[in-house]
Amino acid sequence: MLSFNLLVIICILYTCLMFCIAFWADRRAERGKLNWLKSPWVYTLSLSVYCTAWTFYGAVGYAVRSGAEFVVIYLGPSLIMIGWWWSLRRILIIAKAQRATSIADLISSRYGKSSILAALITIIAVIGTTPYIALQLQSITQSLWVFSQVESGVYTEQESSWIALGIAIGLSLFTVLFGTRSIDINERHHGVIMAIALEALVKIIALLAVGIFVVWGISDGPQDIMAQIISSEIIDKEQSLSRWSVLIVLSACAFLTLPRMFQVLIVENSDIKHLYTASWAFPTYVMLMSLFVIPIAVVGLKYLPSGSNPDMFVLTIPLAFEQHGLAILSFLGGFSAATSMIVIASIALSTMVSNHLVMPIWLQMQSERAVVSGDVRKMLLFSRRIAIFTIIFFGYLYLKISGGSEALSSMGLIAFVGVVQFLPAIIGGLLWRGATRVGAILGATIGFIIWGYTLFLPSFGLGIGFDDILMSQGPWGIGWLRPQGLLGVSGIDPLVHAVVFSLLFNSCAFIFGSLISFPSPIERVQAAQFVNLSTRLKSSLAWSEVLDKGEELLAMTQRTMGAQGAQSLFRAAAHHQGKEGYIPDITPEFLELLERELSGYLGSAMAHAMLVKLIGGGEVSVDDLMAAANEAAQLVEYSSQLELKSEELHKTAGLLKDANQKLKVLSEQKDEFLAHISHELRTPMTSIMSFSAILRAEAEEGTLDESTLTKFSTIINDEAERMTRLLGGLLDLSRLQNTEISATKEDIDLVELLEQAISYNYNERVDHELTIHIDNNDIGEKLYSNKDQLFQVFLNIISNAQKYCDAKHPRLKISAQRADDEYIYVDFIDNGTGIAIQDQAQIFEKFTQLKHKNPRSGAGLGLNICKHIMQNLGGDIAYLPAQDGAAFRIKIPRKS
Amino acid sequence: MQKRLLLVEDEPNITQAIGYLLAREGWNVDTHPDGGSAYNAVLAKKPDVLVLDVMLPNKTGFEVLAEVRKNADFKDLPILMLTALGQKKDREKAEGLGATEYMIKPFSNAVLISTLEQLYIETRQHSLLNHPS
Amino acid sequence: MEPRIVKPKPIYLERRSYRLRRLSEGLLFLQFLTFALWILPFLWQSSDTRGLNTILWIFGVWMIAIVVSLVINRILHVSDNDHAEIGNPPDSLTQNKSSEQDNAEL
Repeated sequence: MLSFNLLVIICILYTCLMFCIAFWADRRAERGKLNWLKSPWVYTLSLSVYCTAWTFYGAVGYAVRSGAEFVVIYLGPSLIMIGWWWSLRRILIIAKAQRATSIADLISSRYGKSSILAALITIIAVIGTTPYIALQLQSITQSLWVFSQVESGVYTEQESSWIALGIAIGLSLFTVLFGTRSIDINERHHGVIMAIALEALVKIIALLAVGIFVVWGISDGPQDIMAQIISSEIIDKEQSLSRWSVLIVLSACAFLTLPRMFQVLIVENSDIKHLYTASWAFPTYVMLMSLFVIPIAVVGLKYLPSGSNPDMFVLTIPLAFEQHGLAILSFLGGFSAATSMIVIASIALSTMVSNHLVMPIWLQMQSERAVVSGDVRKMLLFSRRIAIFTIIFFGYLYLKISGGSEALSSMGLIAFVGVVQFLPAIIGGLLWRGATRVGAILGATIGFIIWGYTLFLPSFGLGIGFDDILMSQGPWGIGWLRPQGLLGVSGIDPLVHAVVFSLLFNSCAFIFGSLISFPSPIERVQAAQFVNLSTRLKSSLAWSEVLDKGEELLAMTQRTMGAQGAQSLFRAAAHHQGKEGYIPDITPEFLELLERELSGYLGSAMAHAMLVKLIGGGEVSVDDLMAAANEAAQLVEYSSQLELKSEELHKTAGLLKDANQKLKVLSEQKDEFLAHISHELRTPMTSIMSFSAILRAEAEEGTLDESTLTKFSTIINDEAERMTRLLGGLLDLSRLQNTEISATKEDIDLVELLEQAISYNYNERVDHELTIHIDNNDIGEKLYSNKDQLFQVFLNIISNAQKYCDAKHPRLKISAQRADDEYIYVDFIDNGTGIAIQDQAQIFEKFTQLKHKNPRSGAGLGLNICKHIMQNLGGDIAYLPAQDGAAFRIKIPRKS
Repeated sequence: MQKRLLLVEDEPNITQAIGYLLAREGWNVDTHPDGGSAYNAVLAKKPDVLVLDVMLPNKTGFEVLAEVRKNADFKDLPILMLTALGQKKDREKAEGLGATEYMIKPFSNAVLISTLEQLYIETRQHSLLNHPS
Repeated sequence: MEPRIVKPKPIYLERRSYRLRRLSEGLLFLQFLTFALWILPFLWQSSDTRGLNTILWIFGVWMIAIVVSLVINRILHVSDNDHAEIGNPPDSLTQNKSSEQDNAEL
């Protein structure tokens, strides 16, 4: 028997899997390994967030109640995706160009970045989406309840409410964790999208599996199913043409305007080319999602006891046939559908709420100083997190108050009608330059009110929403104000009624508001930008048509001389002509002025040519002028870049001066160094020459006795060895200095660099048997420093150990540890005698080699150079006393 | 009368070589390995010829040279700078400070001996001329 | 200095871009045609099998639309990758801009 607890565990494990995937994908994205996170397939799958639990479970119930109509909500989106080139692509291009972060952002930026409009759209979206979230939570608790029924009802209503709350909290956490990790300029969430894509796969596999089980497991294949469908009553449900076509259009529009769809379609889109794939792959996905809906409905009706909830057939059929694995898969499919919707919707809504509701209010409350500081970012993240919790909690609250029930199941389509109220503002904004902010606000408000009045409030049922009398007789007995019979229209489907009337009044108000109002300059420029894209696709406007359209001229001038300059120029000219606002009459005087001004930016020839073309009219299109202005803007930018460059040159000259100064010092140091070297070489040479001459003279005179010979030749030999060592040291040194040193810092893998240095040394002297051991976990540190210079230091220390470690079995232990946030220590400890205490202080001085005291002393240069290098890199090198042998500690800054 | 020479040199092998060499030529060689106390050694030994290394512990040969020359008693003392510093500016510095001869290491034994002999003879003649007693 | 207005392009490229534009218009046509076909069953005579036929019809139209869309999008995609200019230059300019922004974000 299937244990209910097992199901809860599976549920939790599945959620954990989603966390892991999201985490993993975010990590990859952070490291820039985006390759297939950016795949069109992930994009396509993420679009399936359109298919919520409402469609996963509800489609079958819908089919039982209304026959084939369930399919329309899939047909609309399919149409949009098939014809993407003409709708989605334009919105995508404009949204990217405007860097729109949400649908509210896009619409408000079209209408002059109006914050009122953005807030209005945010509020509508929140009101429309909250019940939808409640619906998702309900579907999860309901499906859990179905399972608990199998286990003879161990779980009460109270418990189901707790489960819903638990799910709400878990999802909020997930969304906060992966949806608000940072404020990204593109608002993209790779982790979330990856998890959603995986959930999309689970969804479709689950539904297909149940479908296949129904067709081939329970029935005898397609033929049998066909026969069952024909004999079933659901196929004979009468369809209404109006409802059918309105629903197709409605779902198509909602596909574009739902906040969560805008999020995945537009905001999370990383490449417009993904649509080439999604255009056919997404219709395929939704087609497969609906393929088995009718067979499942028919089989459910036939085999399950009458009175079973058809909304849960997807789950109850496998359970009834004791297919527990399939039932769990199906449950996970529904769970995926619900969670992906909640996560994306709450991300989209929280962005809107924080950007358009919380931040404007917060910023008004702040002093200017606070706005400049980094508080904004923190506040933004914080408000987003709070918004996510609040939105999901509202969903839960809504579920609790409405008590689940019938009211919720119709919420899907009702929400569609709600968000479709944005459409006139979007379409109008894209196609009609005359559309204004006032029109958009008016239209959306009226559409929203009518939607609430005719559809949303009545959906609560008679008890909670409107009472019976109001529904049947209208407010105050005015019949033509009846919520479902406006203007005396009666007998049509309430949904169709609501769609038609809300959009009709919305559009009328939008057009009316636009006609009577006057747009601000920013709005005009934005309008030109939004609409331009579409006019470009059609024929270019002839310039003569444009002459009386001052805003184009303003837009063009803005591109050339910047928004502020252009606006003040135009305003001044208009003022001079005795006009209010920013658009003067296009008089010869004004053109002359404009030419003068523009020539400052474009050069007089270019400005003149532009304006001559302009006055000559006929041939030149707006686009051409826009393009020319764009080029000019690029020129201006280029010249300002040149200015920047000359500034850079100045800086570089300063740097060179510094470098020169350093070189001078270096050259002095070099002289000093050479003098030292010469001294160091001459000293043993003196002894050698002197003694060898003595020996020769003595030999000639025949006065040489055995002991003197031994004594002198030993001295000669010792001194010769000393010279050899010195020369060896010089070779090391030249090798160190010949390694090309670049000043650039880069990311360094410490272990890798150490290994390079070690192998370099091994190559040099194979005869030395130094065992090198790299120790400690912290050695996996990444550093940001100069690789070549660090390499030199490591090389020197290791080769020192090779040369001077006097242990029988020389060993060198290298270990690293993080000192604090700023530094990392790398210790090199060998097992030799080490360096005597009195000498430790001077080993880093130049030429204070430990002559005579340590028989194996070297040139005494390497450590000095190491010290210099490390100090230049912002670190240090020191002798570490009281170790087993010679021990050096290198201190490296972790960051630059 | 023995020719007395003070060698201020910190390299024991070089000291040994020069000591051996000059002993065979009949010199009485005193050695001193430290720059700091070299002047005191000069005061104590009153050599006929002083040989000074430059790179000495505690005080450079140049400093010792200046110290010695400050004392009027030693203004005629022949001083040979015997050093590994071969640059022209070092030689000039030594001459400026009053060195009688400047010789760069490594040296030829024969040249060293003849130079010292000559220095010795010159000073003897000089002092005989000035102080005929 | 004359402003650059229209840059003459090689003829074969014009032809190709012409073809691609027609293809993208084909997508629009496909969209409306599919919509019309999905409404078509309402004009059928009612019969015993009308319900089932409606369903089969809808799914059939769906699949054909998907296949046609696949073919057109493939062609458009391939030529887009070849840096062919689809549509008007200003339009592809905008597109380039947005993809440049994308690169900068990586």
